[in-house]
This record gives sequence, structure tokens and C-alpha cells, in this order.
Amino acid sequence: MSETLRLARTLLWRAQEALEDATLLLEQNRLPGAALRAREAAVAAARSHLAALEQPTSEDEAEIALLYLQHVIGTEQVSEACGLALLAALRAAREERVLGREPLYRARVEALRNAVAQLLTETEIVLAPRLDAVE
Amino acid sequence: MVGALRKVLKGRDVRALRAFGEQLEASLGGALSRLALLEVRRLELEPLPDHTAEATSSSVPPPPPPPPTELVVLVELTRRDVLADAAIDQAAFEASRKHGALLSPVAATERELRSPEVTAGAFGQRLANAEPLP
Repeated sequence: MSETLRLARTLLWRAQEALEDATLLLEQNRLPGAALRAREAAVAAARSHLAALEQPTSEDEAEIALLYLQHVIGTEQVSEACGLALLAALRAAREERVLGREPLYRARVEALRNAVAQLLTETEIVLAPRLDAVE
Repeated sequence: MVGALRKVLKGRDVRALRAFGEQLEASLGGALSRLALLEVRRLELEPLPDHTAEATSSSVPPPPPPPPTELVVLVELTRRDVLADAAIDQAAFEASRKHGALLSPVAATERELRSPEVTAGAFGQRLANAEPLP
């Protein structure tokens, strides 16, 4: 079975775990941690989708974002909301890194978590036929 | 005088920045204080299509498009709320999709930019060297 499909499945698991962490951290009002894990979930889901399509990927988040916009959003495999979620997650993490925790108010992190949850759900639905066959 | 960042911008970068700026001005209105270019970073990717590049009818093939870039832009706001954040992400998404360059905004209020954490840190230096958008 394709190594890239195994990688895609691993990345999807990682995304699911990261989103669960983001949800728990949000419940505890630990907003920077929740935003960070939501970002990790979004990036892992995007990488998973690119791997499943056997498209080039990267360790660089900006490159992942552009590749995702081109190969996944551009081919309408998932809704535009998924692309928005990825960019929103990257921006929240970027702002926390340079500005501290103040940009991460609760409503924003909640919206971010929900958007990444949608991204992950759509990714799971689209990739299920390919990944279910992976042993 | 054109600054060091703007000197390295390619046509696609300029189009992406202008599209981003115009959409933000339309959607944020008075909530937008300032836009400034913080960083231009070349990405290690094959060139992506710029759907708004001008077509030519010349028989000479056009030059290959440049590698894509990440354009880090300061979006200074008078206030931060869910609507403003959604508008910024939407504008970045649309400009990035259309032009094949990644818009990476950093949104901040004036108060956030004046915090000791920012002014004393590396980001403060980048702010000092920020340039207006083309």
C-alpha cells in the first residue's frame, strides 16, 4: 500500500488528536494553547490531504498553505471555508508569536476551533475512500 | 524612494498586495488604520498560476513566472473584533488564491503594537522597517 497514503492517514490522526486538545484547552480557557493546537490540526489536515493526492508538500507552513489553496481548494475537493480556516489558524498563531496573548480573545479562538473542525470533517469525508483501504 | 522590501516585489506580488489592500479598505472602513509591508519571503515552490496576469497576443512566449512569495503585511486596526478578523482572513484568502502569492497578515491594534513585549522584541524592529504597500 502506498507510503503516501499511510502518511496521509498518520497526519489525519495527528490532526484529530490536535483538534481534541484544542477543544479541551478552550474549555479550560487556555486560549493560546487552544489556538496553537488548532493551528497544528489545520496544518496536519492540509498535509494529509496533499499527501493523499500525492501532491508535493513541505515542512514550511506558508508553502503548505499555498499548495493547499492550489491543489485542494483550487480543485474544489473541499469548500472554501477549509482554506479560510487554514489561513485563519496560521494568522492566529503568527500574531500570538509576535504580539503575545492579547490578540486571542475567546470568541476568536472559539470561531477558529469550529472552523478547523469543519476543515477536518470535510477532509475526513473526502479522504475516507482512499484511506479506509490502507492497512 | 522605494524601500528595500518593495524593490524585490514582482508583478504578481504587487497585484496581490493591491487586491488585499483594496478589499480590506472596502470591508473594514474606519476600523483600518494602516497597512504596511513587513517581509517578503521567497518560497521553495514551483511557480503558481497568477489568474490576473495580463495575457499577451505576442508570438514570443512570456517569461516563466517567478517562484511564489509570502508577503507578511501589518494590518493596524482601531479595534479588534470577530468581524474584523473574519474580513482580514477573507481578504488574505481571496488575494492568495487569485494571485498565487501568500498573503500573511499580522493584525494588531495600536495598543497591542505599543506593548513592551512588542517594542522591545524582534517584531518591534520589523515594525520600524515596515514600508507602505505599493
